[in-house]
Amino acid sequence: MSEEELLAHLENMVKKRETDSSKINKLIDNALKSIMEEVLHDES
Amino acid sequence: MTKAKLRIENIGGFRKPFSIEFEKGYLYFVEGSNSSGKTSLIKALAGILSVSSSGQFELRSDRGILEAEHLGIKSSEKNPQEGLVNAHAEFGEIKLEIDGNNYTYYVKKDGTPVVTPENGNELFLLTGVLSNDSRVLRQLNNGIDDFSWIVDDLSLAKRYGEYTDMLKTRKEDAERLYIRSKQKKNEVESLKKKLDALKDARSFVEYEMRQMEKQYAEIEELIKEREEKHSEMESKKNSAREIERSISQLYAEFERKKENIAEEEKILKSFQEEYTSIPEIVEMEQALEELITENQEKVTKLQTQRERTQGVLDLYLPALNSMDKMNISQTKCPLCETGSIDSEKLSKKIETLKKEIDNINGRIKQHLMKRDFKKREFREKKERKEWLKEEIGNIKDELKKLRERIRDFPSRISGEEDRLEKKREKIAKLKEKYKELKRKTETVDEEASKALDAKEEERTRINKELGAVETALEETSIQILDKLVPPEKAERILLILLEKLDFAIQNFSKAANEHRRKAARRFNQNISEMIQKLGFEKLVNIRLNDEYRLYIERIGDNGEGKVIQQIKSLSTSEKLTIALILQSALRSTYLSEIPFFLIDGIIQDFDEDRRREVINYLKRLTTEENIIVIATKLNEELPSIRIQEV
Repeated sequence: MSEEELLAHLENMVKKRETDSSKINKLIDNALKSIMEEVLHDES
Repeated sequence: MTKAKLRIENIGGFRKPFSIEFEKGYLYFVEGSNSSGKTSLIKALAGILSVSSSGQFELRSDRGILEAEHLGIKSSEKNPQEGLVNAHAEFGEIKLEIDGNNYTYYVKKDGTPVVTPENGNELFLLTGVLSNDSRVLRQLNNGIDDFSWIVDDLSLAKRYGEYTDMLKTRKEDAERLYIRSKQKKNEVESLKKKLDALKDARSFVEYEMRQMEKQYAEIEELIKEREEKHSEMESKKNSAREIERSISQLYAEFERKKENIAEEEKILKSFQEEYTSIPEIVEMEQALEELITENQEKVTKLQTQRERTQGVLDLYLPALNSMDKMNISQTKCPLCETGSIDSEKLSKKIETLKKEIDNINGRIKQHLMKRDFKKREFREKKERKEWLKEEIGNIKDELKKLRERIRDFPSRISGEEDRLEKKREKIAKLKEKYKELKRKTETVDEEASKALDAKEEERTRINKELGAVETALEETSIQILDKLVPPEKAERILLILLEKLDFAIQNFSKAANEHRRKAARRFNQNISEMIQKLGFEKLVNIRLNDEYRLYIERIGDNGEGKVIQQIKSLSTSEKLTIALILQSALRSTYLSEIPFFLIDGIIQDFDEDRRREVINYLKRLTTEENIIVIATKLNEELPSIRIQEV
């Protein structure tokens, strides 16, 4: 997930007036997961 | 023309169903005395228009709940009876039909929703209702000029701000983890160096141990031989002890048997002496016969003497009897028949003769007893001599046998002693060999064993340290989400995440400010339009300044120039006017799609001139924005509620 994609997702949540912090954290976790996959895959 | 139809039941003062229709583009006055249900009507509309589909008033966290409580459409802990529902009912019902759509809000007394409308918007609590309890007027009455909530809470700015805060929290977490990853990465490098050094040390110790074990194998052979010799020696010692015991037993038996022989010889000797001391049987027989003959002669002689004495006695006794019978004192001597003899003398003679006969009888008896004694003595001696003879023979036979039995003892003992001597010689040789092996192995064995133990200890220590280092290495992993990641990779991952979060934070901060600025601009523009529409000449400028504080500029009291007006110094009527302007601007800025503007208990508080201006303004507002404005108005003269289209 690129920086722009993450921002777009977050913007979308703001516009939907999403207040559930767990959903935002989940989005960041997903971004983190994709970074991890990328880094760990590169290393392997 | 579009109508809106409201139906309420068990809401506020309305226990029974109450329905009313409104039309867009009109201003309505709800008139009535105190407690006639004016405010209940406003609350019913505010409730159904603001409650969310979840049934809660969640506007910007607890702000919505607070506003709902202020406006009395939700019971609070302080005032549990001050909710929407009638005090005597368990449920209240509000139905609203607008633009052909029907909405229902069915709620329990405690505020628990049962049925909720689909498109209620909590923003209505802050934008669509003006009363003494609405936030705008509360703030003006309290002289607070900070209205940043208008650009924060009602625009997306606050949401962007909240998101920015959440992103910053995540960033802080990621930064902490990133710093930890860096520290752990350095730690890993140091630990890996230590691990390599320990592995090298262990390899060297193991090499040394292998060399030592080779040497130790040779020593072990010698030790094995030493132990075998020792074992053999112990076995031979046991065997020697057995022989010693056997010799001791032989000696003891030999002594015992010799003692038996000596005892028998002693008995034999005493028997032989006794036997010799007893005369020969023939001699004893001859002596006995002689004694018997001599004894018989003596007895015969005594018998003759007794007969002679008896003969005399036999003469004297009749004579004495006759004398007694004849009673005479003298008579002729019966023996000699020549002389006389008196009775006394005769009696004495008779007594003497009787005594003599008794004496003879005693002597005969003695002789006979002696004869019998001698006969018995002879018999006993004869029997004893014969027995002794036999016993002597028996003892001699026994002695012969005993001597036979001990004859081989010396040779047996000698044989055993020879065997023992040989054993002892062997033991001595083994002892020498054992001593020699012991001398050879003892020092070397102990030293080798100690050295090997020391190396083993060293290896154990190194392994322990290795284990600790390996554990420490494992513990350097950083947990990201549900995975343990090596620190160098964690560092890279977190760096990328931090970049992304930074990007989002910067953009969101920017967006929050942008939304604030836009909201303020729009709000200020609406205020400006309201002022122009209202035609309040003295209030020339009302706006939120750059710090989002309320800025009021008015014509000076002398009618010239402009002065900045502090909220605290505003009159009640001015405060109400500004509140109306701000509330109208809020509605237009944020919630123009909801065609309701509710005013509760404000109109009568304006002075007469200002009230007319306000009503005219509201009428224009309803027409221009095609909305329904409902305002309550106190009228103690009315017996019941009256709704009047203005």
